[in-house]
Amino acid sequence: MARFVEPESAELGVGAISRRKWVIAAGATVAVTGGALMVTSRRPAKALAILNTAEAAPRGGGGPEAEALSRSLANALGLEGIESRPLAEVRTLGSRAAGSFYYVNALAGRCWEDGTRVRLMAELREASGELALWSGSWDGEGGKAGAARQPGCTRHLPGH
Amino acid sequence: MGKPGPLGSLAARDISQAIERARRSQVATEKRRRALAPYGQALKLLDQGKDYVLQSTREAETPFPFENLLKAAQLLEEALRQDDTFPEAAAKLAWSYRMAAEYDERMWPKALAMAGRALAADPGSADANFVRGYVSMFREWDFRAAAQSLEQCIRRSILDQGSWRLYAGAMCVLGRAEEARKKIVTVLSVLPASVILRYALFGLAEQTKDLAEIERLAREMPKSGPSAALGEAMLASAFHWQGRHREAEQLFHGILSKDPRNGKAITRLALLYVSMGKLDRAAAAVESADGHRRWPILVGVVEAARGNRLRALGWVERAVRERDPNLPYATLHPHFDRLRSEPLCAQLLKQFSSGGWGSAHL
Repeated sequence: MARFVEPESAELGVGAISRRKWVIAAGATVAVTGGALMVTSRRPAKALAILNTAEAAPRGGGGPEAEALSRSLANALGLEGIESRPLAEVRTLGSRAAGSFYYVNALAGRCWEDGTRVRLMAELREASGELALWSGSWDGEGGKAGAARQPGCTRHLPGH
Repeated sequence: MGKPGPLGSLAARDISQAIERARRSQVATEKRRRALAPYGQALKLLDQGKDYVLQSTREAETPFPFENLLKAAQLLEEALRQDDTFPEAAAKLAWSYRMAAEYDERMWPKALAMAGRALAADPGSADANFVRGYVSMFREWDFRAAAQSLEQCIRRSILDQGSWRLYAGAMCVLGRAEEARKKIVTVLSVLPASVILRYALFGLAEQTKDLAEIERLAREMPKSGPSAALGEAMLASAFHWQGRHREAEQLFHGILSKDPRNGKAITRLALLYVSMGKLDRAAAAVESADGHRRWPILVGVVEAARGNRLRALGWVERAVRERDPNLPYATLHPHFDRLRSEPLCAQLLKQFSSGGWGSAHL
């Protein structure tokens, strides 16, 4: 069973965060979710990070570098726990939350154009309205992507 | 736990700032609270909440049940009555009207007006920009405007595959396929199995006549599952481009033996027969399509190849009048050359377009 833990630090720059732990069974489909709780207008707002790695592919896709990059983002976001969970469950959590609930869907992969580089793309969405708020993309050298590989830290997307 | 790498740290900082901006822009008025109830019900009816990253081509192409759209639109109208400064509700309502327009053409102006209302309040709205881009692409045939709106949509929702697909189409018509290709491969890096993105890239490779890439993309498609037929159709088209007509024909027949109503296979088989000079078979292929998939412009292309000039122009006129969604794509194909050289055809397209046809295509 994987673990979901709210972050301890206010590294995301949005104030105090509670330390309550959520323990939820891993879903059948391999999703991986890290959690970070943020602030609403009056009290901490909530945001979950969903870290995805694409499946292995001839061009682009997952691999150790992409895993490392996802892990690096998880670390930088202050996520202590990582677990497997589908996006639908993240939304269920969001629907139970008071106020707005954000989630970050982040995908990492090797660059299609140059397999030695890695790319991270992320979208910030408001969960209850499924509203796209912001998105970004970052490229870097594969070897400098981040921490060492930790298998299972990300959601592996199936072919579709 | 190891220290975050520089790229992860950079991304985390940007994400944190985005969340903070979102938090600051929250509206928590009493009228917004009242509007949220019908808004939430409408989203459920619109099936919002599906895993948008895993959306299949079939899901992307299946029309929404009209009844759901009607109910959702009523709920969103109620949300706007409760709070007329609710841009997200306006954007979703525009989205609902846009889909309802597939059933009732009178909804197009409403979709456009509502998208305008949402964009006036939030110029970056992904949903409203998508609707604006869709209308520009398929109703106004203003491909420059379509590309601009879709770029705005993608700026906020970089993983929205449907927007990338439309964007690729608009850029093809504008003669900017290579520019679009460079952008789409950035997303394919993290979504390499996306059939929607691969199909968009396939269309761009067709425009740049990159025959090796066309075949490679087709061969990398899933060999099983709901997208297998699309992969076979792509491979057959790759053979068509390479002049391997018999192999292409066999593949298309294989697809149609399993799914006689496969619109993509029928369309592309008809064009193959035009290339092969088997014009009766081309006409028969077009005839075999379901009514709503018997695209007027495709019939026009076949009639032009048969030398039936006036009949072909009649079908072009009908395609223009009915806003045949295949028409912009058809103009990109070499088989359109015969029609392209007809002054009346070019005149019709220019007359009914808000502009933006690539000069290379007319």
